Amino acid sequence: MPDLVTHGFAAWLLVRPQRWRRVRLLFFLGTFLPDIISRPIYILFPHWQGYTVAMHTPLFALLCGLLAAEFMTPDLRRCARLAISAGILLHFGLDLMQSHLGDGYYWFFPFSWRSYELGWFWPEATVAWVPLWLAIITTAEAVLAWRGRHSAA
Amino acid sequence: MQRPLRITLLTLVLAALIWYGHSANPAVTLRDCLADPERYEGRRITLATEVTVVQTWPDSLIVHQAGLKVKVIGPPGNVRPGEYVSLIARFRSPGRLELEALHPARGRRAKIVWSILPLLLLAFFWLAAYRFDCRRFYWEERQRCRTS
Repeated sequence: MPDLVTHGFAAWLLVRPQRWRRVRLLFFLGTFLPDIISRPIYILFPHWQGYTVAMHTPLFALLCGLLAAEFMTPDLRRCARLAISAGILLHFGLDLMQSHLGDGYYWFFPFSWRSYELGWFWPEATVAWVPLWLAIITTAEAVLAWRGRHSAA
Repeated sequence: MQRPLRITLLTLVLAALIWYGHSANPAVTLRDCLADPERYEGRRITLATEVTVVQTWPDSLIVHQAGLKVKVIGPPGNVRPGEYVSLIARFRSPGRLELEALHPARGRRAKIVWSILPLLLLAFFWLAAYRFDCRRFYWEERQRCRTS
């Protein structure tokens, strides 16, 4: 996986427009979800890595997203299902671009153990870009907040 | 379909997928090889999850994964003890690996540390935007709470 700042930056580019305001956080949740449910387990408890194989797969993450949406208020639930699922698909879109030694991710789990990836960059390579992503987000948010204050005044 | 039924069904399917992912995974691990060295003699394996370098020599290195240490025969390149790596190697009984490919995962620690920041931000903005209704067991928008 690329780092979560890179995932977050990609999500921010897509859902920053004001019309996505209501689903923005749900989309971010979906974008981070595949890593939230799998990475902490095998980083903290490497012996359990076998149990996390399923967790970082599209089907599992989408079902997990549907489960998460069940814990939203009823009038937001349908929106939540779509926004979380869209975030999850963005996450796997970025992951598809990576390169790994050996197998990458099992895109069609549990129907196939074949993996495929585009091999454009190593998982750690995006860390070098994190300061740039943060600078762009901070600057853009500051400009938008400043413009918002001025137009209100 | 009723909400409790949907939650129960999804939870059961997710649990089944976790179980299937663990039990049906065809990948051979270092633990498998060390538990039955004769069976896996000459088997090509990938070590990619949380593998760190313990010690290096010009022609070999020792790596650590999930409580297991193993000697890997092959040039370690410029990796240093403590660094994360991923590698492809051939298992040799009773407990050695012959290196075929090595990738130093420099920046992995920074990646883990940086990845905490978006999660903290998401938690902060989430708690600012939603509150959990313990009676109905779901998150509702804070703004909506005030106006309804």
